[in-house]
Amino acid sequence: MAAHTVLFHPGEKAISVPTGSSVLQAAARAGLSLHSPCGGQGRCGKCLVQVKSGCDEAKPVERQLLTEEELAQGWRLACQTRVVGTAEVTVPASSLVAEHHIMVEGVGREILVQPNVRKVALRLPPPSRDDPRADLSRVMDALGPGVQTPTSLDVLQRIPGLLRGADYRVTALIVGDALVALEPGDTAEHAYGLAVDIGTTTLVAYLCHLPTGRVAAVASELNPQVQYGEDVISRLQMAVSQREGASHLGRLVAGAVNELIGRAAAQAGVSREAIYELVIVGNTCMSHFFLGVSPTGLAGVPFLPAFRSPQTVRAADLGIEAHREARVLMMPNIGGFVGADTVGVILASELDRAKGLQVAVDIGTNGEIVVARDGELYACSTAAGPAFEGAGISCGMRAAAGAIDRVAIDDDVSYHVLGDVPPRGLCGSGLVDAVAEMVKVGAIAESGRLLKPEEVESLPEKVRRRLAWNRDGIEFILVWPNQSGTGRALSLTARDIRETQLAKGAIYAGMALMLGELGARPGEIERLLLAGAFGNYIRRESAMAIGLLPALDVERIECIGNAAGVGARLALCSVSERRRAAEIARRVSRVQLSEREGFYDRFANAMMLRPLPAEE
Amino acid sequence: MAVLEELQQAIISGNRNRAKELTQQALEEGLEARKIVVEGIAAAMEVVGEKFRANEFYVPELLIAQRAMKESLQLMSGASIDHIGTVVIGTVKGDLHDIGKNLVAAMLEGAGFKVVDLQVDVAPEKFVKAAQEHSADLVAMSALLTTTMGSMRDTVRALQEAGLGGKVRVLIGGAPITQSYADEIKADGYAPDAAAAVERAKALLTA
Repeated sequence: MAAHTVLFHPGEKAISVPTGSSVLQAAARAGLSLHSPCGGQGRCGKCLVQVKSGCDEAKPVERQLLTEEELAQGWRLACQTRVVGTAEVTVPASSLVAEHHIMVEGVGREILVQPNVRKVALRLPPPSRDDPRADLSRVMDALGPGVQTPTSLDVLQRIPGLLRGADYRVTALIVGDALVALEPGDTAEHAYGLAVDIGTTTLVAYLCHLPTGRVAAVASELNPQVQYGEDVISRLQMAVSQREGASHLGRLVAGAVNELIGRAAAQAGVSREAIYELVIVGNTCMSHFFLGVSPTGLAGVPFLPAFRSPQTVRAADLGIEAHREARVLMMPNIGGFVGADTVGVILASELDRAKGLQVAVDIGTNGEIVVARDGELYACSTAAGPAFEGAGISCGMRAAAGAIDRVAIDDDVSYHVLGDVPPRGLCGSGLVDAVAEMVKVGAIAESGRLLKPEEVESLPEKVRRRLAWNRDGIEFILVWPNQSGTGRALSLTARDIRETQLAKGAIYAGMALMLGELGARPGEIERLLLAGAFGNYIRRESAMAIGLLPALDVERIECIGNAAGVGARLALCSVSERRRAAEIARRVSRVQLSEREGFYDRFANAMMLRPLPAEE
Repeated sequence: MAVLEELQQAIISGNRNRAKELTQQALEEGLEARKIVVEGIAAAMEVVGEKFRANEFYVPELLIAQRAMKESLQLMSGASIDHIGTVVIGTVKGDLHDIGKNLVAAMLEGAGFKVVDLQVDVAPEKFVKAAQEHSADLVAMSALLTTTMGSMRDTVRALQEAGLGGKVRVLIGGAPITQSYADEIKADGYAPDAAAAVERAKALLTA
C-alpha cells in the first residue's frame, strides 16, 4: 500500500502513514495529542488543523462546522481529513491537549494540572434533515462517553435557546464527570477556582486559573468569628449553647469568603461568575462551622467530629457568591481538632512519602504538629493560641503593611516594617525576633520575667531606657511614640511575653511528646518544616533561641509558607492530589495530648526562653 | 534558717536543681520534714501566690516554681509530715483540661495538704468513693467547658446522698465558673485562680 509523509508544524515533526489515514491518526503517530472528545466522529469541532497540501476534499460534516472562508484558508477537522499525498499540516495550540505543570513555591514541587472542573469549547454540527438529533444528544455526542448527562432542570431548560442563540458554538462546563452548564461561544479559558484556607485567626484565598493552575490573585482577611473568641473552644461553646450558633458562625465566614472573592476577582480582572469550584481547608471546628454543622461531639471526651470524609456541596447553599452551579469541596479531617488544614500541610510537604524522621509544625492558633517516619504519620493540635498570628499580643497584628516582621537589638532596637510604612504593630515573626533579641541582650530572664531597669545596669543605655513602668508592671518599648504609625508607643508587656511562652511551650512540648511516642529525640529530626499563616516567615534562628523549635542545624529547618493553603490549591488543580488527600486523612494517627502522661511536665519545662532541649 | 530561706528562693525562681540540693542539705542538717515543708516549701508557694496576684508572676512562673517544689517534695516522701488536711481533686466528667487543676493541686500540696489527684474525666461516683476512702476534708473540682460544668452539680448531690454533706467541703474553679454558679449548686467555695484556691481551701478547713 502507498505511504505518504506528513509534516506537522510547529515542531517540524515528520511521519510516514498509509494512504487514506486520517490526519488525526497521523498526528497521534507523530506524538501530537489532539483534542477529540467525541472520539473522531466529527461532532465536536475540537481537532481543528490548517492543511497546506496533500489531503482530500472537505466532507459534508466539515462543511457544516466550518465557514466558507475558513475552508478556503485550509481549516479542516483532523478526524475527517484523509492523507492522499505528501502533506503539510499546521496544528494550532488550541487543538493540542496541553499538559500544564505548576511549580509549587515553598515546597519546590511540580505537579500536573488536572482540575476537577473543565471547560470544553465545542463546534456542534447544526441540525439538518440528515442530522435531526435532539439538542441534548447533539451536545452529549460531542462530549463523548466519559461525560454524564446533566441532572439539573436548569441546564435542560436553557439548552434550546442557548444552542440556537450561539449558533451551535458553545462551551461545556464539566465538573468531575458531569455536564453542569453550557455557555455561549468559546469561554474555555475563562475558568477559575478558589482555594481557601479558613484559619482560626486568618483566612487566605488563592484565585487559580484552572486550565493552567496559575495563581491569578491572592487575598486575606481576619476571621470575623474572632468576636466570639480567639480560640476554637470559645466558639465551640457558643455554637453548642446558642440556637443556630453553628449556622451563624458559618454565615460569618461565608461573608468573609465572599469579600475575598470580590477582592481576588477584581485583582485578576475577572467576574465572580467565572469561579466554578472552591476547595476549602481548615481545622475540624472551622470545617464544621463553615457547613453550618454543630460540632457538639467535639465539646467533650472523646472529641468526635460530625464528619471526617471530604464533603461536596453547592456553593449557593452556603451563600457563597460565585457561579450559580459552583461546587464547594470541604477537604477531609483527620480526627478530633486536627482537620483538613493539616491534611493540606501533609499534601503540600509530601510528608506521607518522606523517608526518615521529618516533622511539620503549623505555627498558628492551633499549632498543629505532624511527625512522619518512613510513612508512619502522627498529628496533634497544641492549642498554642494566636500569639504567632499577631492576635492576643497587645500590639499584635497580621503580616500586612505596617507590621514589624524583623527585629534586631544591639546598642539600640532596629526593625523592618512590611510595606515600608511607619510601624503599626508586631506580627508573628516580629514577635519571635523581639523576644529572642531581648533574651540575647538580657532584658528578659529565661523564666520570662522582664527585668527592672535597675537590674540591668550593663545594658546599652538606648536599650535600657526602653524598660519602662506601666500600670501593670514593666514593659519594653519597641517603638517610640514619635516613630510609630499609630502615634502611640509599641511595647511588649509582661503579659505579652507570657502569652508567647505559653504558645511556644505548647508547641515545643507537643512536638517532644509525639517524638517520645516514637522513641525519638528532637535532635534526631532530619527535616523540620515550618508552616504558618499567610505571609508569616519566622526566623529559624530566633525560633530556636527561645525554644519554640528544638535546637538543630539550621539547614534542617525549612520555611514552607502557608502550606495548608498550598495543599488546598493542589487539590483544586489536580484530581489525583485530591484523592491522595482523602487517603492521607485516613492514614494519620491523631494524638490527643491531654490524654498523654508527661505532657504537663514537658509543658512546664518548655516554658523557659532558651534553646531546648536543655542540658540538665 | 539560712538553708530554708535559700530553698524558698530556689523554688520561687524555679531552680529545681538548687531546690533539690537545698532540700537534701536541710535533711542532712537534721531539720524536721514538717519544718522544711512549712518554712521552706509552703512559704515559697505563698510568695509565688502573692506575686501571681500582683501580676508579677504568671502561669509560666507558676509552672516552673511548681516543678521545683515537686523536686523538693519528692525527697521527703518517705518522711512523715503532718498534713493540714486532705483534698480530693479532679477535672469533671467529659473534660480533659488539667493544667489549671494541676497548678491548684501543686499549690495545695505546697501549702501542706495531702492531695489525692483523680486526674481528668472524673465521674461524680468516683469523687464520692475517693472522698470516703481517704477521709477527705475537701473535694476540689475543675471544669473548662460550659458543657461539662453540670457535672459539678451532680457531684455535690452525690456527696450529699452519700451522707458526706456535712463532713466534706466542696471547692470549685475553672474558666467558666463563677461565685454565683457556686452558690447555685450549693458548693462551699469558689476560687478564680490557684493562689486564691489555697486561701479558700485553708479557710474552708476551719469553717
